[in-house]
Amino acid sequence: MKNPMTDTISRLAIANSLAHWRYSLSTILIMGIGLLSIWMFRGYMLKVGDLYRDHFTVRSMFGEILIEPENADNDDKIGGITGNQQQSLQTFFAQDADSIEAVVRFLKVDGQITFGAENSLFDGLAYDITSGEKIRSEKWSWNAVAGRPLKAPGEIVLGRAMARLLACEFDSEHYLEPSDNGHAYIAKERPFTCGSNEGQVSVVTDKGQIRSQSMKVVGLMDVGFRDLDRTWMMMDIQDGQLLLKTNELSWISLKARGSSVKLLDDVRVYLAEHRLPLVATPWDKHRYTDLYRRTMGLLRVFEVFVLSILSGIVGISVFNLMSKIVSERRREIGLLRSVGFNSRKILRLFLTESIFTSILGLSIGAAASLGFANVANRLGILYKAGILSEPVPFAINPELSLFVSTALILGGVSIIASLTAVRKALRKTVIECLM
Amino acid sequence: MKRFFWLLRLASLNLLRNSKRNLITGIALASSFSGILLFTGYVVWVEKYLRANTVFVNQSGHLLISRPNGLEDQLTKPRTALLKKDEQEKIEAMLKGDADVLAVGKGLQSMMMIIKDCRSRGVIAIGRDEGIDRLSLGQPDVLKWDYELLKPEQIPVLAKFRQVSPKEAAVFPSPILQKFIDRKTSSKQAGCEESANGSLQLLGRTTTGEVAATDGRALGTQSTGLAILDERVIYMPVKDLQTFIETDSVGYYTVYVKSLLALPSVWKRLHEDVKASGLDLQIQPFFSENVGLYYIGSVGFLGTIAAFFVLLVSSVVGLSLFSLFSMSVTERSMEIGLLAALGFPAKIVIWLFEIEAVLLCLLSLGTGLLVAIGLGDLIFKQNIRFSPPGIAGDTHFTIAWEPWVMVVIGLTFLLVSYVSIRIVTVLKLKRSALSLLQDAGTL
Repeated sequence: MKNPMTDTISRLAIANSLAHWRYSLSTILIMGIGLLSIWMFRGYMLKVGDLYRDHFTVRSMFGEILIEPENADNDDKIGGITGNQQQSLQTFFAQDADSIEAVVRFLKVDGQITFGAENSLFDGLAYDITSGEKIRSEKWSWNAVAGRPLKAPGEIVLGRAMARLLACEFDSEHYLEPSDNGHAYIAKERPFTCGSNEGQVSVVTDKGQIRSQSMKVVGLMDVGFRDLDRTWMMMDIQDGQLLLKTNELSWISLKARGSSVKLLDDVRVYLAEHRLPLVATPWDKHRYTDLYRRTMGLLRVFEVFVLSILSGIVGISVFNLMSKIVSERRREIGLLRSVGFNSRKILRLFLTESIFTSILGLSIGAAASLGFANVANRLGILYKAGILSEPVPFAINPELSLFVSTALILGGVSIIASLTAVRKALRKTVIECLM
Repeated sequence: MKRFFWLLRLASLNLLRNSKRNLITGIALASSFSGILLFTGYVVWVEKYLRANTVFVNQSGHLLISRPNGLEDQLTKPRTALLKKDEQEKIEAMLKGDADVLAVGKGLQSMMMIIKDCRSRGVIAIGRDEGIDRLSLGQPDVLKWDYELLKPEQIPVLAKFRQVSPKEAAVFPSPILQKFIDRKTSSKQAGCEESANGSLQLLGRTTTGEVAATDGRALGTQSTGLAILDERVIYMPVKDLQTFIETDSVGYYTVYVKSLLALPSVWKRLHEDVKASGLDLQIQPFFSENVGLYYIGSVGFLGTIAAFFVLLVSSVVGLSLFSLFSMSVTERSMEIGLLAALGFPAKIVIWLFEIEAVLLCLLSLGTGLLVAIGLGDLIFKQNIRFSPPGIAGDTHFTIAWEPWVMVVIGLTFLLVSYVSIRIVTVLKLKRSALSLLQDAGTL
């Protein structure tokens, strides 16, 4: 059932907002530009997070969960997930097949590669080619800047900075195209030469034995970080294990079909029940993604900072405007009180006005923000970001949840500022107000 | 001038008359100004940290002289990429006597395996110039921003080591690689004897492609200051690295200038000298992508965020000021009408309001500046440790001040205030004196 008083207050509030349209316009503009600024800043940060997430989980094939030996650290050349442990894990993967989309096995390999007179040390990875392509999804299934991705054992791809060191020749332009989240490679085999394209790969096993194998370079890739790229190589898991004379693995990546949280819990329970000395870590907590965590941590500090400064300015401006409105409408307040409106109702009246102008301001700000984000995303402005080897696009992710939280913060600040200003006026007596 | 002081006095009185509203406006201005200063202060610190790190700690110099692509090619094609003795003499002659040059250093890089017991790891060895190490210890920029990376104790340690073990190579691994060296041999590596503490073997290739091998000893850790480099870099004295790869050549020369302002002229002179000498050399500054990738990448990234932030805050501040000044001027419509009726030209009335706005802005900026400096000092004294992306380990959270950055931001605020008040007063003064006198001061 409708409350006639609520209707009256709402009508009065809208009429007042229109009557004092210049004040309302000021509040609307401040709220609008405040929302635009904060939402866009947060949207930009979200996009940076998306780029990193895409880089690690999809492009680098980390999936969502990494399983590795307990106390594994960067110094382990040969992983430590033994054959028996792998068999046990295979049982789990078969049982939980419905919740796992892809399983990729990895082995760290380092050593030396020689092309005739040229040689270089390398750091690299051996992995399951087929499931690796699956985890990279359509966007990054083609991960070669020149040549093509790995397809079969006996093949290697090199980091393009390393390829340059080894006097390989290739077209370093025209391999990128815009995609949903930054850029992706054009899935087309581009020519390159690295001598005869046959390299001699040599490694030292954990027994101190030197082993080598002739392998064919089928493509060049970009790892994302130039210093890593300078010594980077990838090969099939069979080749890695054969070279290092081991059946062990460094880690296993899992991509969940549904909830990765549930899958992580299931893996941990399985490891505990079977007393396997392995740990399962979500990708964003793993040591390899330290850069992601640090970047996002820093951006979150910036976000809080921006939010505090901008909502502070918006709050002060709204408070000033409301103080002025209330002091100008002192007599109106006195009149309303003398005809029976109590303080609560007057407060509601101003509150409704404040909500009305805030909603209008936030709506205008939302429309402007969407337009701004659309233009920024379409422009495809590239800039150098930290230690990434390729420039990244300046883009904004105008996510709805960010809009809702920003609007709630700004709306809250505006309402608190308005109420503070009105409460002050209501402390006066009716006569004081009317005079 | 007399009129100006009279207007200044009047403006000050007006500011005091509307003290409450002006105080609130001032707080908004001061807090946003100090916020922007603190934000940009962080970016300035990153710039100074990475500059000192690139130039002195990692010994890339303000200018780096090498063969074209020599910085990279020295790792795989040392025979052709390194600078021979006669070329070194010519380069040294070019730089000798340049009053703007503080020092000249030599650098060399090589790929090698470090072997500890049966474990091996591929690394890039960077040859450090001991003279530059000593010089860095006295550099104000290094002492102020990168002091945590300095290891002055390593100089006497190295001198003593040379006397005791002249045949071993001195190695200064990063903390991460030191962990690899310190790790005990595991049981599955049975048959691998554990070597004496810190002792290791270095395996690589000489400049002629022969196998190079020697004993080395880790004398202490030296971080590059950058996480991704710490994974794969060891430092060695240039002389030890030259002995190891059997050469008297160097990979590059580094030039350190006395003042950054002199960098363009030194660069230009050097470029001309190189051209005249007929040597095929490349001169790159520390802010080029090949030399200072982390420097330009990180500063560019933070600079983009800072520019975006300043743009957003300035637009919100501008709009708020416009709205606050509109209110303030409208309230004083009658006063403007009275001044106009008394014969004050519109120009003088506009000046009065402009002086008020500028005065309020200057007072707020002054307060904001003091607050920012105070907070920056407090933050420094709290010794807060934090881990920014890209930097190895953690570091002391510091805010740095760059006067020109502060002035530019201050001027932006002043301009925004000036433009806001100018638009408002000019619009208001388009009305007649009578109409202004009848104005109730409502918008």
